[in-house]
Amino acid sequence: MAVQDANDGRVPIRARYPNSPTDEDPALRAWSDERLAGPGPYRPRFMVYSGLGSPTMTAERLSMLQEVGAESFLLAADLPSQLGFDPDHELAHAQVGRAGVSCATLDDFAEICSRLDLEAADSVGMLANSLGHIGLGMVRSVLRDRDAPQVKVVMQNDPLKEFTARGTEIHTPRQAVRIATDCVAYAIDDDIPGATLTICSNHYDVAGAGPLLAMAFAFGNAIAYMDELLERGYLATDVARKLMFFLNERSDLFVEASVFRSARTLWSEILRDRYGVPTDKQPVATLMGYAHGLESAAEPLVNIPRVTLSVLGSMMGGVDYLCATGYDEALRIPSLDASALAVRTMQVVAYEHGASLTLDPLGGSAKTRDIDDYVQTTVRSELGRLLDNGGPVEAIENGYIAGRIDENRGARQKQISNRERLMVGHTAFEAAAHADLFDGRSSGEIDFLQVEQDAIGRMAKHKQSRDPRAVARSVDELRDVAAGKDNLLPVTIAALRAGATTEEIVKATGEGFAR
Amino acid sequence: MKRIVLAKLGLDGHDVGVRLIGKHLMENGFEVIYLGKRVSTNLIVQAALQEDAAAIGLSCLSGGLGYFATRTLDSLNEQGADIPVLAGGIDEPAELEKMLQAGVGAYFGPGTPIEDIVRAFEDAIADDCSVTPLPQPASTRRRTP
Repeated sequence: MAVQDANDGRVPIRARYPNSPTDEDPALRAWSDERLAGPGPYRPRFMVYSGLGSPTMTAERLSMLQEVGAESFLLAADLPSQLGFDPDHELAHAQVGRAGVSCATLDDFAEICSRLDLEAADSVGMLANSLGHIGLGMVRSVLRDRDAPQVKVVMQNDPLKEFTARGTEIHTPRQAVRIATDCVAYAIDDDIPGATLTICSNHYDVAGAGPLLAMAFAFGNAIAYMDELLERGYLATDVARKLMFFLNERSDLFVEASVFRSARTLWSEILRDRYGVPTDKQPVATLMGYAHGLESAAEPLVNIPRVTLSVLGSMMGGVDYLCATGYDEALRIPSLDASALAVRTMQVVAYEHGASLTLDPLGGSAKTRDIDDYVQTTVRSELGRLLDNGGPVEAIENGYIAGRIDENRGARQKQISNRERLMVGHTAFEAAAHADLFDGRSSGEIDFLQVEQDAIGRMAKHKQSRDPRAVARSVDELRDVAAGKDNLLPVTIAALRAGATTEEIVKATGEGFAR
Repeated sequence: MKRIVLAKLGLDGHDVGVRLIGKHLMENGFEVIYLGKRVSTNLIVQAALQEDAAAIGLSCLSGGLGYFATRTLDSLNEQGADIPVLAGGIDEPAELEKMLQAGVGAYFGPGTPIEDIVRAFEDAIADDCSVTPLPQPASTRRRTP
């Protein structure tokens, strides 16, 4: 067992401690065995969720973040791109390039990735929750064109949560499941490494459900996708290898760690009890997090220690892919210095102060055992209730999920208003007169109206330069496939390569579904 | 019963706030027609005219609130309809200022008490737009992966 003592007191530190729950719980044992096969520190991949303005601006930023040490690149697309509206659509106005980068064509995505060193990158992906076939089609095509088959994909392609927690739904819940599972099936068939489907509890938590109900809803959605793929003849182990879970808890360091380690235990139980996969045959679950605190807009720099604590909580819980919030994210899309500092924050926790020398460092404490019991019992019970209420798809349609989120909404705000929870600079140690001490260098850097004009111009040029007959043919074929049961990915990739835009592909997909 | 048309502008999907406002307006004696998300300004104007709305409430948290609210107001003016328009959400301060100057009756930023919003609708319908809460800094997060 690895032991090291590179600390001032030469105190020996083990990578895993015997006779602890890490050793005894089958899921934690399998996970830690796998990690121990490699060298420490036992830290996650440093992921950045980034994208703003034009593809060229985003390419520059990704390149800079890679030079600072980012390894996994999750592209933030703007709202029009996430919803299938090209930048020249009426409803896209004033939203082009703002909440993410404008990415409406395969050329846009190729430009976004153009300055990434793919030899050094661990993974690349994007948010494409309701148009997963287009997002995966873009990522797959660019990685192929750049001859980078070793780069893993990290797709956030989990449409079911959109209906009640995030709001970018396009098709019906059942059609949404078709798209997401087509992506997983394609990745299994083509042996694409990485996570084709990141199943999210984060957004349910943020919408008001709280982290435990959120985790139960996320496992419910995982079951919906798994069931559909098993129905199509895929093996549970093959499907599980293509999944990643995006977990969230942003108010208590120890609960946060428990959420991550408990997720391994609970998912392992689901694979064993529902899908009959013995523990020793299960793929080790991949977990993602996004470190947050209770961020302040009034004193942005004070968010740095908040985010650092959250980074520590998720790393102690055993997160595999981690993003960290920029200190100014309560104000705007993070500025350059904030994005770089977020990467540095993760690196410091990974490499300094011994924070990541031991796997599952909290395992075995009385406090952790008690928190784990509560977390796991609650999630099991809530998952049972969800399944009793029709399961994840029907529970969207019958209002059960929305109702449960409504019941819990506002709890955080209430705790702060009642001063059950204190927030430094707001409800404790308030010093508004000195707020400027905590401003940082954050500033708006982009002329968004210019970005929008440029995107509209780029779209006009793109449409002029392509072969309209080839586009029409590919879109017709896509519509036919959407109307049937074949996998959407091959025809989507063909349409992207012919020059079809996101809006055209989304429209054809919907028309096919409606036949 | 006075009728109010509510809608989400642009592509923003965060409709918890607008639904909550609709619920409170109904509890205070209004009839509410919520048109949903991603509604074009044309549809909002058509619905308001067809339903003989007493006021229109518009929401957007993702950019474009000022632009789309002003466009709705312009379209109402072109049709000769004098229906007060109230708006809530997040936008750049300059865009909000332009929107209010163009004649949007009130702006509600994050954190505005629901009672103030209900009272602003009552005042606007009574042709008294004196309640105009000042724009507040955006303090809610706009995106997450």
